[in-house]
Amino acid sequence: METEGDHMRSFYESHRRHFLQAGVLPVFGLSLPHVVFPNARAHAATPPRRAKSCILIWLEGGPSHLESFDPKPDAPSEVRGPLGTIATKLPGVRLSDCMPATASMLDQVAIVRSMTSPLGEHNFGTHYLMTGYKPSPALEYPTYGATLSEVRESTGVLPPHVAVPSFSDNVTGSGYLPADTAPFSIGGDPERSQLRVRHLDPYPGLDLQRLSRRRDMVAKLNGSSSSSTADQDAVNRAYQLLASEEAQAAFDLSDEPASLVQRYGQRGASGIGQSCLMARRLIERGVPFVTVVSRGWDTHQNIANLKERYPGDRSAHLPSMDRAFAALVGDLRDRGMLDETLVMVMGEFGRTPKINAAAGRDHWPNVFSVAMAGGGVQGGQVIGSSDALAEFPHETPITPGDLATTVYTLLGVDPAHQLHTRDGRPVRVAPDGARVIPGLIS
Amino acid sequence: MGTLEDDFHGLFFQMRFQTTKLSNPLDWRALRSCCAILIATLIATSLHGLAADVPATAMVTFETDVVPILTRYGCNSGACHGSAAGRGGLRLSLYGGNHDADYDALVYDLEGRRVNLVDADESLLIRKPSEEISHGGGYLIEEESDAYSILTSWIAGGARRATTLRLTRLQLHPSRLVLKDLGDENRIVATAHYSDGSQRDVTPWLVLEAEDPEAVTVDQETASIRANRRGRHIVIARFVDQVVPLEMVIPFEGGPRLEKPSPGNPSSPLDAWVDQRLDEMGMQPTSAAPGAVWRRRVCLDLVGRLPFTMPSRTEQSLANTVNSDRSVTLDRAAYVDELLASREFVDYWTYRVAGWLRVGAHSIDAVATQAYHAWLRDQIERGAGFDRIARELITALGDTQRDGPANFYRSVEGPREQAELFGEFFMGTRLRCANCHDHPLDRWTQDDYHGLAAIFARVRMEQTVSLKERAEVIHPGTLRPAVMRIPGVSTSLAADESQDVRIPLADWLFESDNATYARAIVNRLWQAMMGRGLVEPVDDFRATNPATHPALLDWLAEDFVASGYDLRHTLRMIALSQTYGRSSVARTGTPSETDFYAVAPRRRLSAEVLADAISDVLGVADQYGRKRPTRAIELASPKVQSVTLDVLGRCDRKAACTDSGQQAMGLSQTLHLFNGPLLNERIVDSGGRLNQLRENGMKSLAILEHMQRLAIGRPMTRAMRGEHAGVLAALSEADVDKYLEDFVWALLCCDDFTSNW
Repeated sequence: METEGDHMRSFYESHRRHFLQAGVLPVFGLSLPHVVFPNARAHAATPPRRAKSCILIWLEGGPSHLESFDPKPDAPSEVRGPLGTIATKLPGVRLSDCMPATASMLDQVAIVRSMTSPLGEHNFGTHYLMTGYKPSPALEYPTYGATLSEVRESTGVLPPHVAVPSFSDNVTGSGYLPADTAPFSIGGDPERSQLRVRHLDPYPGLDLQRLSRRRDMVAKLNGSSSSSTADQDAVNRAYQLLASEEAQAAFDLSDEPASLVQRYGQRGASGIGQSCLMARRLIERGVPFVTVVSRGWDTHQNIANLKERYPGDRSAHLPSMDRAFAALVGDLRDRGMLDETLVMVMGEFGRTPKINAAAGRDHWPNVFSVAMAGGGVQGGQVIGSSDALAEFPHETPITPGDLATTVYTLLGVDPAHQLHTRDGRPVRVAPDGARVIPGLIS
Repeated sequence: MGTLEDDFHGLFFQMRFQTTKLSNPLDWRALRSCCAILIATLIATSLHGLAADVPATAMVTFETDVVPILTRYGCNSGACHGSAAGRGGLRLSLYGGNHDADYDALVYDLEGRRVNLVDADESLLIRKPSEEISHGGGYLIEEESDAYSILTSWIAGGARRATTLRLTRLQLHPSRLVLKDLGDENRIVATAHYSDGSQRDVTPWLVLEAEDPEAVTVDQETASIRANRRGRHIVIARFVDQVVPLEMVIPFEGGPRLEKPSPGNPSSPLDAWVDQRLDEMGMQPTSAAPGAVWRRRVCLDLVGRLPFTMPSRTEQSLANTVNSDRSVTLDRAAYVDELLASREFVDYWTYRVAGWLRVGAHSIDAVATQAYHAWLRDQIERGAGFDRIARELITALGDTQRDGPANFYRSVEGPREQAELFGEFFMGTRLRCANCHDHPLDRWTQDDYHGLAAIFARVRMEQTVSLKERAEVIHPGTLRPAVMRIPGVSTSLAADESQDVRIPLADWLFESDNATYARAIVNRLWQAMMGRGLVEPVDDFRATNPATHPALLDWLAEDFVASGYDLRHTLRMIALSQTYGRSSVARTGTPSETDFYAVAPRRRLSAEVLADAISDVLGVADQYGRKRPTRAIELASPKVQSVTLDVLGRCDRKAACTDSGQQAMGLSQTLHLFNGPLLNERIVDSGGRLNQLRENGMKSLAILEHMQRLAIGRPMTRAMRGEHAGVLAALSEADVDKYLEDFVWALLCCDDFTSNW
């Protein structure tokens, strides 16, 4: 409940930030002049709508912004790189020539081209982008999906936070929250159309009744010890899943029509197409957060491989991602689910503007891009920009903290909402001082 | 819209202006400067007491006055001009580590536009941060400020330097804070000491950063800190390139003060240090763990096994009395000595140390990995001191398939990575930061890093490890071959081609005043026994990550050295301490009780130990790779195929597995346990323990009790016994089998089995 004191404090803080901008701190109290600041209202505004769920398409390794959402066709060749560009549905906005499907639906997508972070190392970058907080030695923060699992009512038997096919290796996911908020990795290999959860069928000789008895016996053994109940919860959740045929069917792609399977793409970018299709199935069945993890974006060598690894290659990383992203957004729209589903495409950082000696690009966090669609995002726009050489933000720098504030706002979670660490201390879901990305929310 | 964002590597003000969609088209700049002037005037009047002491007569120099400003305002931070590529065309050394380069960049580059000696006010160094002209980093320094006037007078005075003057030390007052209450503002005063003996109050240029910003609020302007919750917090203070940690302790409330140790139970110095800290933290330790609990704990920690698997005399005599519930007096010292002398101890500690050294993580040569492992096992079996082990590793040469320690040079790829592995194992330190710039949070410089790498560059890292006469690594700072040097030792090593430069490196580890290695090892031993290092993570010793119990760490290291770097000596002492013997049942639930060892921590068993424990309880060995059945602990390589170890979450040793995961099991693992073969197949194995007991005619209820005792070392309660008896009585014979199987499964999945507590 917000008390008057809280209200005053947040009012004061919103002012404080403006004075910081002027380079000084109001060190003595509240006797500040009542100046109306342009964004004072924006700060107080509550989220206009609530996306029910979110699909994060995570391009692990750090996708090149220059080869995807922020090409620089006019830059010198060592910056421009080997790929071409194409026009899009938005006048004046060009994308990589590997992305025709995205280009033709850009009216539904917002691209933020001015993401910026100081952290150019995989673990740190992943933590910052997936949680909104810079990694701290004192505390590991929870990822979006974990936070959502914590603040939303449980939706049923399906795990609230799922990774397809498996979660990033760079963060645990749950941070300081209980282990059951960590993403459930489905497992299997989408690249070979073998995306399935293992061990859903009872082991020979076992049946549901015995599994149930086993669960009860573990509970009794744990109950008499003083330990934490984290493992007990894991046992309970596994049992519930095993006991529900309906829930298990959520993981079965075999009843999706072949045409749709094709539309998402069967191969490429570590199975991103089938993973996105799985994500849609899960979202449809009430899972609030799905992370699709596509690996192999850490392109230190031969950046042109993103487009084509051999003549006639149709399943290189970029075309596969383009196909899957466009199919997912289109499929969600066809089903009337786009407005309530937020879709994001990003990785932990961008790539160096200059092509390196191995014809690749190295880590570059100073500026990179994030694409967002659905779930209350105002599509058909580019927010912010990078400078001419894609080195630094040119306009409207956006931090991962700002992104977190935006994502939580879209999902109907107050960015100032407080969670509690294991030792009981309160922590905001999004960092203090961050803001909603201007103009992003429709 | 501006945000205040603290940089990971320091504090850094980044101002941003919303250029799109301003809902109110105010003249933003005009408004800003109006406010700035208004507030600045007010602040100038209130802050004059805190302002830097700049006597008009004192000479203003680059080293003493300008660099502190660059650090204070984040100009030379990693997120700004201090980044490797610089920013906006200006590149400074990180936190001012390289004065010469910074001076050149500011004074000579760009045709003197940055520093205009003719007209100081025209200098970009002044016009940029005060945003007279557009500055990517925003508005940092106001015209009325001390920083502004210092910069102006420095330029007007001819941009002087004090090249012979070195900053030797940064001193904080207070250097440590023990507070009673939360919420008080605590002013920090900083004094810089220089090589000419002079000192200055540098408080205004101090950058304070709380390790946990939620726990401690920092007010940069007044150099004050405020604790928001009880406990122990670290604040890192930076002045130019010096960093000093400041510890804040706010004791927990309530609870009686520590009772004196009971007579007849003299506590070791180890316990004294721990108790002293508990007292200071306002914490009360729990009582001692019961004998059976302690026995299971110490057995798992020293030999990685459940007690019933040990063939020792004590175990046998205990086994004879096991069916009477009377407690048996246990001679703890004798028990520990038996464990330390066992073959199982050698196996288990070979496995642990192999993990620290990352044995087999990258090698594709199984024969060589086996040789490395065998050598290590031999050292531990013979009780070789860790000093000797270190020397053999560092100076190793020869065929990796035959000469075990030579594999130290085939564990990672390249001399820089070798330097990092050296830092990790021998120094407990992450040197990596110093590859690209001087370590921002520690004393290691780029010269240290590449100097150490240069030593290893002379090692030919092939199947046969040998020395090259000539080899170099390029120092990215100078773009010249790095000069070989021992970390932190400024004298460079003679580049005599005939000399093995690794010998002086090994000597350095054992110089009388160098406890680096001993501290790193005892800290790992402490973590292995207590669940948490005194420095945590155990490979992150640095000035700004102080130990929770500094005196204890020093004492342990000294004692370790005095014992001849004897592994068994230190483990024995820890195992027999009161601290180690505490119950894991929390008394008060005070946060961070385990951090200060008020209660024993509950620790998840590592995948290998858990796999072996499952095999032992079931009486069915597991199979790893294509070899004959063996124990997971005995595997030389982490790459041996094993579904069991993958499900249980083994460490692949590719990264430093410093914390074997306090994470609970995930859904995938639990599904496997329910329906996978790992447990199911072996519970019903015809040669397994369960079937053996049945065939021997043991009563069903007795089987349950027996299996529980083996698995979790805790007798069945009377109530549970009654409950089981009731259920069993109503079951058919076939169903009784299933009931037993289900119970054994549950035993292997319960917390008391999967953890050490």
